[in-house]
Amino acid sequence: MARKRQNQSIRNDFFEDIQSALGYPPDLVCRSLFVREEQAVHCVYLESMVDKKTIDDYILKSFTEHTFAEGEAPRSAGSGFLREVSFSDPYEELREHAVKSLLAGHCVLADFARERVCLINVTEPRQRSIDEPKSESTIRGPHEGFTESILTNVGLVRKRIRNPFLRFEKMSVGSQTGTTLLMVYMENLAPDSLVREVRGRLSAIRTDSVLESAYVEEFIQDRIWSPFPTLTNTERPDVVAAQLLDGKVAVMVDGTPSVLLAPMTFFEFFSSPEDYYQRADIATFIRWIRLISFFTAVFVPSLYVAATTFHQELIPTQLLISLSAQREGVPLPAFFEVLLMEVVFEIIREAGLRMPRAVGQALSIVGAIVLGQAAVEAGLISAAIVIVVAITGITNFVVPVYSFGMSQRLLRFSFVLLAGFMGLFGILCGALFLVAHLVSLKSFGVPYMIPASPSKGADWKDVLVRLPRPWLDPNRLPGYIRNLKRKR
Amino acid sequence: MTYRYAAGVFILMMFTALLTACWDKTEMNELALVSMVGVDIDPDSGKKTVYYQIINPLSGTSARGTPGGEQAPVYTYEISGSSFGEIKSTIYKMLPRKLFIAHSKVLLVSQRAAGQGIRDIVNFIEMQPNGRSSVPMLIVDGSISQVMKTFTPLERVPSDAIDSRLKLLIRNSLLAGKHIKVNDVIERMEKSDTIVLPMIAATSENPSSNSGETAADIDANQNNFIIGGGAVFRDYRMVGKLNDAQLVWYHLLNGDEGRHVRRFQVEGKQVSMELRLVRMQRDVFRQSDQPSVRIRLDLQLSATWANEFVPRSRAEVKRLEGNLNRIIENESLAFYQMTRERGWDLLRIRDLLRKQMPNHPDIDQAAKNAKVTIEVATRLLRTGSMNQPYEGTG
Amino acid sequence: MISRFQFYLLTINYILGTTLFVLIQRLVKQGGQNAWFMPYWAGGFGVLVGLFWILLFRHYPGRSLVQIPLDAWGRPLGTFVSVLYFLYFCNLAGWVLRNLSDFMNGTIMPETPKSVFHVMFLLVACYTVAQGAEAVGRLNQIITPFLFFPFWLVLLLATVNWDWERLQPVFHSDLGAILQYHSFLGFPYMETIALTMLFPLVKQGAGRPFLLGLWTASVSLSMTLFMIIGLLGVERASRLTFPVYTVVQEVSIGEVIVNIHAIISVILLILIFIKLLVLVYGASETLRQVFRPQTRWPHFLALTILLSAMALSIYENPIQNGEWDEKYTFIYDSFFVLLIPFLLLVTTWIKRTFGKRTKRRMS
Repeated sequence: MARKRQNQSIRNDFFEDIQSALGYPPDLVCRSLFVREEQAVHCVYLESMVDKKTIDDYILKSFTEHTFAEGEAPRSAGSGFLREVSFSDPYEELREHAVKSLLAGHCVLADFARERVCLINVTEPRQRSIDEPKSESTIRGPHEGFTESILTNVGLVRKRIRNPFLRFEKMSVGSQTGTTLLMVYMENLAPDSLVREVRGRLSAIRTDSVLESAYVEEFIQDRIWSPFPTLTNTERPDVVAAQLLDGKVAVMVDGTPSVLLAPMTFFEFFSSPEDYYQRADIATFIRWIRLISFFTAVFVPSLYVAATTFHQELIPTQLLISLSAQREGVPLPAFFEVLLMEVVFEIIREAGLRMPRAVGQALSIVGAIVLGQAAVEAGLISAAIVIVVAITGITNFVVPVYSFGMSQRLLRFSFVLLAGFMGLFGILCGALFLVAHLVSLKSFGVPYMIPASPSKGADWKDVLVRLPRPWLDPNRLPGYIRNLKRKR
Repeated sequence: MTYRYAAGVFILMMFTALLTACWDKTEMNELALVSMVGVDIDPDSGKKTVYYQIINPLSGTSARGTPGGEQAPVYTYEISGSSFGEIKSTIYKMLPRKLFIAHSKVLLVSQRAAGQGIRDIVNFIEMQPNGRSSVPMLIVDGSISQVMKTFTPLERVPSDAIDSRLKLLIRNSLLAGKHIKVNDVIERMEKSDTIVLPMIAATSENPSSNSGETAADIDANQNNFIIGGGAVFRDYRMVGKLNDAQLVWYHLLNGDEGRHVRRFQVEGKQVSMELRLVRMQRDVFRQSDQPSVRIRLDLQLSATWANEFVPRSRAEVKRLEGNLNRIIENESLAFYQMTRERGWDLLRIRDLLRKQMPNHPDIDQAAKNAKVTIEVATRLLRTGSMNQPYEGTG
Repeated sequence: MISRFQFYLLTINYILGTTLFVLIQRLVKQGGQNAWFMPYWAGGFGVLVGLFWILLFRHYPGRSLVQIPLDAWGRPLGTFVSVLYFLYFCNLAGWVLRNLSDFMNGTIMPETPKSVFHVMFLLVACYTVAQGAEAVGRLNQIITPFLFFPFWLVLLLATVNWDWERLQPVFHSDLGAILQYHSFLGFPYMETIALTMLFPLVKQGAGRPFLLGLWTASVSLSMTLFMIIGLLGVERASRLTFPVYTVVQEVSIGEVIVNIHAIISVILLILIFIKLLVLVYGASETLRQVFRPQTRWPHFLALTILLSAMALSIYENPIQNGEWDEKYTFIYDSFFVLLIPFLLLVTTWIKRTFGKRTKRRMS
């Protein structure tokens, strides 16, 4: 009797409490099934998070078909699809549990008569279909990209590496958002020290919200004040699979298709997955082009400024005469011209990102060609500047990783400033400072400038040259991973 | 913490001191691009006059179209002073832009300045941090002022005209050699050697000072200058001249490899053959305490330009070669005798003896008394498109 | 920790540092056509002195140059000697900076005040040193190819004007003059004592890369002198202040790219930077090892200010510098480089034998 009354009150309170805890959301559905006389089985779920088909088909049908009612309710040991929570737990805990599971997309099945509450995992949040990532497209190779659902992403990686050693470790970060994090690695390939380091850094994250992998990246990176990223991110599962097979660790964050990869070195930013889908000699050539474009994007405007304002003897005579002729009547000194045009280019680029597609094409042509040409003819800038800025802008985007392109831009501006004040000497000091900075960076214990700086011959294999597959040792891991494994 | 802030502010203030590096900055159109420099020294007053020929950048076309009117491609500024260093300060009484010597191509020295000695000029050039001593130096036969104010047809900038002419002469004749730069002058003079520099003269009495007229005139010889002859220098002073024929022997005996065509009189016939030096060997022998020098020249002949006569058989070729050997030996020996009489060591015998016999007590005397023999071996290696010239019917 | 190869490269670049700028003219003046032989003789002496230091360091494994007096002579006297070394390094660094600004002011940037060059290089050097010795070694390793290839490429391009006759007659002039030129022994060979501050940090022993580096630097210097004499001739090279700069000025690639001397001079400045880097490392490490401060950035700031002031006042004009160099360098350097290590070695031997005797008596 007391039990029944208790049940009754619990039942009323239970659902009332859940509803008020969630703030009476419009998508909370509460269905009751009368299985036995007067004994209802209640089913509560958040409509926007669940797969209603499963609920209807499996759960409720089995009730109406008396499978539940007949014998015992299916018992389950452990979490997963069906989890039982006992009534003997304190009420607050029960309610907490129920609310959490509801928010995670579970269905709460409460049978007060038999004193059991089951939590059934029927999560299926609405998500995008699998599509090629727009910023990392290749000509040849798979065109699948990660989506915002972490389960889908796990599936995309698993189907490429069908190996029991592929490990996924789950963590939850963000006190307000409760985002799921997965640390992925190959246990037989990734060094223990690396895995430990990543795990330690991830568990040390104390923040309120994690909406994107960039948030996580900012917490686990080695150095905050550096223009160079020490982790890379990608939206392609084939890249992640390849890097995992190289012994690296990936971090997947629920709610974003960008997956982080650690550790990264400077020269690995110049390799794109497409290198491995093309022939070896072509891939080597393209890699060299990328390295050259890095230097071009960073140094060309500053070299131009230095040559035209400090060291005019460097310029061949004919070119010097025609440049002089172009500059007659131009109001700004070369240094300010370059800065102005660089800023204008950045503005055009940013505007191009946000422009509606209908207007985008026309405006880019206007911006790039007409503005440049018209400005030259009006005598505001000289023609050579337009070429310099155009070359720089284009070579900026050759690097496969977008965040690295941002670093180039920052560097370019600082070099132009240095060149404008001190000419080639300033560029030299800036370059030395840059090299000193790069050389002291570490990415999860790996020196950033490997294999240039602590160097062993064999490590150069995959950096400047892309050797054909048959020549590569089948069990080879990058040199620094081997070093880490040796260090343990 | 306050220490950090204070140090940070202090460092930022110090950074402004770093901005002073831009004192070296010059905009490109603040520069006066010098293409040719001319030097003259007045023997009576010792006054030094320098002519700078500045390129006018607006004389070409640019993205904004040609500027209105015909612009002169170069402007010549003339400035005087009592020493070359002083001119650096006084030039800005006339010149509106900063002097920029780094792209100058030619240095002209007047004959009277060369007669007084060019050591000051050479020292001045070498002492400048951005002075270029790898420019050729030419001596002006006549008025330097006139040459500096001459426009040339076809090449708008006169120094380009001189530069390309020298290159073509070096390659296609023996009238100019490679060692005519200021640093060659320094080297040879410091070793008490001799050097021959090319000479340049204006072709007409009154050249036009309007570039439009020059550019529109069909007669290219009218407003122009001509390179010819050589000035002999010893101890930084000009001591004599060589004419074109002597210049050829000078360059040949000094190892220059231009392809020179000359008409020879062989067995009563005239034949124009092209000579090219393949190898020159100079050996020193001691003969009873008197050194003797044997110079052996190996020449390659080409009959491409021999429109008068082409040998028909091996015997004729051998005869032709033998004759030419003799002619060249005789003429070059005559050239050597002429130089010895005038006291010019143009074959650089003294330098050779100094290197081969460094322990000789009196090199100068030995050089004067050295017996020189010249052996020439020619070989006909090339012929032209025809192997027999047209002869006509009667 | 620095690897042996990195230390080897560091030694070479340190020795070649300001030598290529300052000494070439004086060496050619002294040695004439045989100046290319002088680095071998001086290098041999440098190797001997290096062996002497290595002997001293054997007795104190894992200790750097300024920690040895602390160990051998106790705290007060050892601190005094360490401070002497600190001042010596500061002096050398001031010299290096002044050579740099003389070169820059004399050639490509005449109007800029000298302090700008000093402070810029010091800032970068202090940043690198603050990152640790690894940064120093790795920076050098990465930068060396950018230094080596352009320099030799340009010298090879200049061989268009090569003339074997400039080198003749060989070995004819007075060899004694070569051997009497003792200031070449002081600068740069005896100044390599600054590299001994890095000895304990080299993996698997610093002795061999150090000696190999000395020898390679001598060969390199000799080849450079050989090229300079062959390209310029003795008469010009012995009078020009910066023969390397003049050689580079006269190089032209094709006929279009002329006047590349600005780029090449700036690349050669890297050598000066490496020398400065090692000296700044020596000075700051001395402070750190002797006084063990908690925060280091005030030291770097103070070092920057001190060294830039020292660079401005170290000599008034290059003529003064030349005279001091010829007369006093050897004596000045041998005080720090030969005398003090010799006294340290003697003390160590005495202690050893005394200690052994005491042990024998006690046992």
